[in-house]
Amino acid sequence: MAVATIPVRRVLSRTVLYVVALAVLALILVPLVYAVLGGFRTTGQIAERPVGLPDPWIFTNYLGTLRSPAFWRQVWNSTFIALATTLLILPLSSLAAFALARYRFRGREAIYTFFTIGLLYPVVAATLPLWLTLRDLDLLGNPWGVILPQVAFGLPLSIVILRPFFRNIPDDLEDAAIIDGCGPLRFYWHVMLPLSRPALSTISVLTIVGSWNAFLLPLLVLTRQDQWTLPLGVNNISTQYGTDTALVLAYTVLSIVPALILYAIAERHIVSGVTSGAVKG
Amino acid sequence: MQTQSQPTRVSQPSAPTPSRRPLRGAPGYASWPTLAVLVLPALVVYGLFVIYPIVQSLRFSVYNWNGLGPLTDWVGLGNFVEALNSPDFRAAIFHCFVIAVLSLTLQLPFALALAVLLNQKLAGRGLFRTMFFAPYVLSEVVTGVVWRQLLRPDGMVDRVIETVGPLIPGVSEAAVQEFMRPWLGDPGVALYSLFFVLTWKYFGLHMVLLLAGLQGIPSELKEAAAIDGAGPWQAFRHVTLPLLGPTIRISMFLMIIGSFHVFDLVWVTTRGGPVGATQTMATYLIDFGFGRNRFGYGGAVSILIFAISMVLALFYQRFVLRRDVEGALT
Amino acid sequence: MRRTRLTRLSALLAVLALVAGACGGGGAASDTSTTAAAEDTPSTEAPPATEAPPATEADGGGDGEEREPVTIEWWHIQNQGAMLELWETLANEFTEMNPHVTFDIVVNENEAFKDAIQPRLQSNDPPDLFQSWGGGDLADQVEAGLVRDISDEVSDWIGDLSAGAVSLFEVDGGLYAVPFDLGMVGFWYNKELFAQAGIDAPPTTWDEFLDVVQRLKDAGITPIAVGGQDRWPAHFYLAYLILRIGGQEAIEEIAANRSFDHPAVIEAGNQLQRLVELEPFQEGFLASTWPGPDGEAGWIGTGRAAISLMGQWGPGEYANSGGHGEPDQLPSERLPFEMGWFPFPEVEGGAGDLNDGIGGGNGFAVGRDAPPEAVEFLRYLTSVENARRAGETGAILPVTKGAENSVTEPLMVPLLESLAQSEFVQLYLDQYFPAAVGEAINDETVKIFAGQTTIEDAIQAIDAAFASS
Repeated sequence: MAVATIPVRRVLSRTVLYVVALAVLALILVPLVYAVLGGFRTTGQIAERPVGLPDPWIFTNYLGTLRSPAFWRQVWNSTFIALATTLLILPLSSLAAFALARYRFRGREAIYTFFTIGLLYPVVAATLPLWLTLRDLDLLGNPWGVILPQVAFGLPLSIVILRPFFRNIPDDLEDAAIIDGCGPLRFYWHVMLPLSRPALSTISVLTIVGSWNAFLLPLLVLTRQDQWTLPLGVNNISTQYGTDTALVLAYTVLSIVPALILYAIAERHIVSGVTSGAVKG
Repeated sequence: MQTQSQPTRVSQPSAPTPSRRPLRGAPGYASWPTLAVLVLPALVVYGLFVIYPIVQSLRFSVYNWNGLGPLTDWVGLGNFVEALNSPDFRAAIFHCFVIAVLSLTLQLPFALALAVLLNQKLAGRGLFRTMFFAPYVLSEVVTGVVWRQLLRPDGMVDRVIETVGPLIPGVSEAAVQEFMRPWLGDPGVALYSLFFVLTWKYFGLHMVLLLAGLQGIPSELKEAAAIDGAGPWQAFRHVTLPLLGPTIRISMFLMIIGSFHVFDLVWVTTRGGPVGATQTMATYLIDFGFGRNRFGYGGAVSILIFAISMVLALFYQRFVLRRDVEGALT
Repeated sequence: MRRTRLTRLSALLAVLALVAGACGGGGAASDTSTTAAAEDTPSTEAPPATEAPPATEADGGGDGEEREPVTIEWWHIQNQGAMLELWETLANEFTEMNPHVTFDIVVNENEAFKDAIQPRLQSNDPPDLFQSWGGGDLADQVEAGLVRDISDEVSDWIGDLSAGAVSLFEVDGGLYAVPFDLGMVGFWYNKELFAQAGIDAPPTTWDEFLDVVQRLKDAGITPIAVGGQDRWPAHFYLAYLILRIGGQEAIEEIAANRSFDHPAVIEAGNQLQRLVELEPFQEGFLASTWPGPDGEAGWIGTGRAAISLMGQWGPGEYANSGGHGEPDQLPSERLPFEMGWFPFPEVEGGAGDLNDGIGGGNGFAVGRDAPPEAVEFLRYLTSVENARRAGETGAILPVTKGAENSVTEPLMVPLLESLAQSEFVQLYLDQYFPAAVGEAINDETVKIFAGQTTIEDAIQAIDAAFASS
């Protein structure tokens, strides 16, 4: 209403902005659309015309995958590992962060620093020695051999996110709790946890996504095919059925559906998770 | 660019309180057993699976060891010397540096440009942000499998270039054909192709970081600059960019660390090939240590990767990030 | 790694006198049933030389007493076509005869198998039966105590298999795996593309071969497909050139000295260089795997390249990767063009014989804790009738005596003829030597293919691997 005449220059620059944004959008979407549509084609169709719509539409690739017990076992394995990792990371990291945030004791900063080293720690460099440690603990060929290290490597970030959160909860609350005869654990359970729900959600979502996508550790640890997670299944199917591009694409697309659903639901948490860590303030 | 590690919080929570132990009953006091219950579980898991293994590898890195049986064949620093002299390992380190440099010079400006773009009052910018960030949520395995299909000879990328190329004024059909190559099969370009795919997956992360940074800049400052007669570019150059400094430096940090960790994507697309042209430190470790039953050597390579990453990270922290934060990570 | 490498190698210097009475059985066996019910009615053509078929014996065992239920975990790499089906059928049949036995079959593509078995073995938890090529890998597994010496368990029937094939899986006098396939690497070529380039006869010398390559190239045909990403297909070229130039002695000297610094290797490198300079390989060959549409097999199977240096499993995979026909057909029926085979040509002045070969077999190693039923199953799998069923697929060359002529695939005839005349078959070099050395050989060969190294530097890198293992 307020804008009576829009300067021509402004319209032009607007247009340029949109063109750029749409071009990037296309760059993001085209590979994904290609994969989704590819699953509806035959390998022959894809080979003949890499660019094009399914003609005719083939449903056997998707239906075959959905009917495959191996696929569902992998969905279950991925889900179990992601949830177990998250359910362990939440108590471990929040208890530790609580202590490191609210209580003063000798060695506190040293312990905190000890945890933060993990943020710089190149996980890949740890893989081979970690694998040997898991072997000594008899955790190879066992989902817990993936879950426990994932928890361990997830702790630093979680603690680093949670500690300031706990710190910023006013001291008055703690005073009141002490006066009410609340010990540290009850204070943690009844006051801290409910108040830090946003931070905990962020950690959960980041952990689930990270676990869902993990490849290297499961590759080396899950030595039995019935324990495989989806990334291992996708990798295997892409070598095993390398000749059947359409099937590979269908399998791949179906494997990312859960992650995309989670992203659609919890985008806010994911984005705030990655930014809260990095951006000051 | 980074693999699975998440962005690092570099800021220290508000003024660190002294660690002196308060008196019993006062706020900030907890008994030692209570503290142990709170901290020990995390400390044990973390120590056992994160710290212990790398310490352990110090021990077996000085042996020639196939992973099974006792450590008997002592070789001293032989494994370290061999790794540092190995042209393949050197190439792997170099490739990681190439990815890091390309990330800083191409991916970062690209992400920044898009962040600035989405910081405009643009209809649908929420949707754009959601979509640009989406690849970050996909696994590298999926990304690799799909892009391998797209980049194969006569695949979709080739067809698009063949179709679109000649439409560009001054570009002949022959020039397009000259330009075409096996994107993942030519040792000269495979690393750059992978960098492109890594950018596809990770620019959204940095864009979101930078966008959050941009939104933290008070608009009054830019308005003040405009009143002083600064053009948009000048305002960006002299007001926005300096204020965005801390975020940019953190993005850079994540890119550098991430470049040293690349594994999944390379493993599913090229496995470090063709002829080692895309070998990264991580794929080298798995291929030459694990894959060849050389665990002693692999231990030495692990320690070298660890040392390289740590030195770089600490150096960066000390000399680049220091301006932003006090007593940052370590 | 404290190893007794030399004694082990000498045990492995398996000079395979493969006087297999093979040679194209023609249509003789073509009517043998391939249905799942075949084991009930003994094949009419099954040679009577063998003892009672193992099926009967296994049945007898089942009748007598209730046996503890066991599961046999079986890893194999016949992941496509008729062999995939046959292995599954055999497992089902075995379960039918021995209801207490169930199978947990894990099928992987060749490269995926190598990735997957590695951590599994390193975790000290070997599957009951798994693919083996013998050689340095098997020796490593023996040393690590991962596989079981089955000499006693199989003594009754191992004599039914070709002694040369069995010897591939012997380490220090023990037997650790049972072979089901043995063959030789040679050149598979597309006859139609040769005709297009005006080439009437396959080359018999290296110079002629280079000439053929050049003429194909001149005719606008991609001369050679090679799986550069998988690397081992490339190593066949170097291995063969060493064998043709230096003969059996050269390989023995290399093994004894634990060094590739040998005149025959240097000359082989120079000859290979001549080939590489012709730029004969398919576009993007360095990123090509062996199977798959963009792989070596895909290029051959779709008629986009003319020559492939590969073992007896070649034709089946050309048909698979080319996307032709049904798995139950013979490869030659599936492929839409005619193919042929010729042995790796002689190098002028070389010490090696035209019929000596680089080859090897496939077998199943028996894991340390495998139940006895796993070994019984191997007996069933390699029994004459079942070996014949495998041979009829045209995908493998069975090693059970009396099953040789089940191979009706005409493409295999020249290969079998050459094999029959061989006095020496050298196991693939990348499998023959310890894993680290084998990988180095593969790596360095591909670097030569890519023009990124010289033979002298390659020798140095391979010798470094020798020193470290």
